[in-house]
Amino acid sequence: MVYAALFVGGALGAMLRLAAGEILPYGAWTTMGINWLGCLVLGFFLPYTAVKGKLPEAVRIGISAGVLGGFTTFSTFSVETLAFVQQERWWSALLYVGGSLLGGIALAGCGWLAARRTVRA
Amino acid sequence: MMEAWLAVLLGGALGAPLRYGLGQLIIKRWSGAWPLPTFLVNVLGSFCMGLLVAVTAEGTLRWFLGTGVLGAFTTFSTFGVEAVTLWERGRTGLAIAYVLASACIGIGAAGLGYVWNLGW
Repeated sequence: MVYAALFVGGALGAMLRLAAGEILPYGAWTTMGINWLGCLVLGFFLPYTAVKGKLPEAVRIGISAGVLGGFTTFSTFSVETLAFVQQERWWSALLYVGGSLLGGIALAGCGWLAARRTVRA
Repeated sequence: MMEAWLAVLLGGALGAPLRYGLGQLIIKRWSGAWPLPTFLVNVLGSFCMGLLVAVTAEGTLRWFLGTGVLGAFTTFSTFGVEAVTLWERGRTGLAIAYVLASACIGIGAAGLGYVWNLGW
């Protein structure tokens, strides 16, 4: 059941990422935005659903590890950084790596805090 | 374009369960605080993506393996949340080490995959 949820969730997440690339230009900065959004939503989703446990576990994993895991990507982040380095665009590389890491983690933290406040309220 | 959507759909459907399954296998043998499943998946996926970028240009295979399978196999959202979780538990040093190691080794692995294919 969990794997069926991951199968569907992963397909959905990857297609959402493709759709984002269709609407926005393909490239590193779109990937950064995707990863930011995914961090924010997952940061909220996990603690929120852990306390407000209404979702069946398979659905919870299908959304977190499936949709959001499939939507965000680390491999593209690595390769896009590599491309900046190859082109010797050092400032872009630095901004991309720093922005992705710090922004992603900060947004995951924001989601986390928001979830805790919502749950308490 | 229809082909791209289908390729990414199938690839994503494979990549996410693959990440989860591999993670479950690793977690059976690993009880440390370091988020080893995500770390290994992201490094391995980055290496394969480096290889792939060097091997194939645009095309359905690239959509399938790159945007689909490897894009969904690796994950940034879990990585971000794990860093926050470590920090929240007071493991700040470990959180920083995890973030830096993931980024440096992930990018390094992608470079290795890329260079490897070009015949070193």
